[in-house]
Amino acid sequence: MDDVQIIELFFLRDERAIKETAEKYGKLCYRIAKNLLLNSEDVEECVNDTYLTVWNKIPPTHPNNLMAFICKITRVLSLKRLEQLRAAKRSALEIVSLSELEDILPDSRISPAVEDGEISKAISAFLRGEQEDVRNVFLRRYWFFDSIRDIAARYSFTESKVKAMLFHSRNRLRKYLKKEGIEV
Amino acid sequence: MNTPRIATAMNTIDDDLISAAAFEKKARKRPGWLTRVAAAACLCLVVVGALGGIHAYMKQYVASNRIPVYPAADFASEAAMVSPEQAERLNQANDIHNALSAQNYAWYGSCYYDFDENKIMVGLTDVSQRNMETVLPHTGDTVVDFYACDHSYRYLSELYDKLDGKRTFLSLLGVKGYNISVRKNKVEVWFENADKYAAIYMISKMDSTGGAIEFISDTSIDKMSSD
Repeated sequence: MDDVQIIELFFLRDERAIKETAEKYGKLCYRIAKNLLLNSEDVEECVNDTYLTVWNKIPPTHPNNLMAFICKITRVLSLKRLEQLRAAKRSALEIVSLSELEDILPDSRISPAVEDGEISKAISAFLRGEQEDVRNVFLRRYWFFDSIRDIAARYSFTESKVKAMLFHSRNRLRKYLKKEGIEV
Repeated sequence: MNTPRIATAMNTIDDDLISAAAFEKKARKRPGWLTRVAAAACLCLVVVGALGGIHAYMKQYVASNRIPVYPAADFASEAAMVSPEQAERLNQANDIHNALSAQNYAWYGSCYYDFDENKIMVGLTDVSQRNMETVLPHTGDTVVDFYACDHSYRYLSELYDKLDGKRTFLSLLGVKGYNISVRKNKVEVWFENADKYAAIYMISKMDSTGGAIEFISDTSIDKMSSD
């Protein structure tokens, strides 16, 4: 079923919309959640929360890109869940990809006047200026939170090449944000 | 560790960027041997292409500079038909040549016996009275005639030495042999085939004054022009 039909089902409040979404994007959501949470119960919970959130948001929202819409929800929920687990000291897990990002823009005390939306726009603009393979490697690592090994296998690169690509991308992004007035 | 702000800010980046990274087809890993074979094939193509290009350039150089390659048939030895008197005259010419070349005069060109005119010819790059007088003590009783030639024997000798220094390389390029022709006041270079453009090109470049080399091949000019 294509995305337009799935969205139509949501608008009709037809529960098949959840089933079709799970069938089409379930694995992708699961993967994003799993990359951050590891524990399968937490992952399941997060993915189910994703479907519920989508159900509540559509309507009135009519996403242009259903896949990105769903993935964004999973990502937000997974990050929130990770924060909760850490606060409850239920997870001592160090998410390496997050710690790598910390160097670029650590927390909300930095550039508090700048909205997240602005930062997001700047990052989008930065990524559009990158080469396609560099951009995708960056997103697989810091958006989908894939492991270096998975990224290397995905694009047939060596792991050291992936690490080098990410290292240079992070440096360029930091400089770019600084140039855009988003100071570290 | 708190979630870095950039991680949360990244959540709203453009949808198309996310889709591209999510759906991009995975690259199929090529087997190592295939990569190596492909690289070797590419290298061969580059080498063949480069050699083809070089060959074409050298062929063009030979054609545009109108460098002639004479057939070896025109160079039949005159020595086979010499009479005893002519042989004596040849020896005289040879002795004079040896004496003058040993002096290493910058203006001395060549000395040969002219069968048709029955004369011993001494070639000088500068036929001045002073030079002619310098030659005469080396000719003894033999009468010689002077003529103006283009190249000094010293230069031809240097050119010969240059060729000799590269003899292995030149033989790989198809050069059969080389010698100084005192009669023609040139260095003669012999090939089996007239299409040895690389050798012709290289040897021509060694001749800084130009025209001091004569190329001779076993194949005819007709064959060469049809290449």
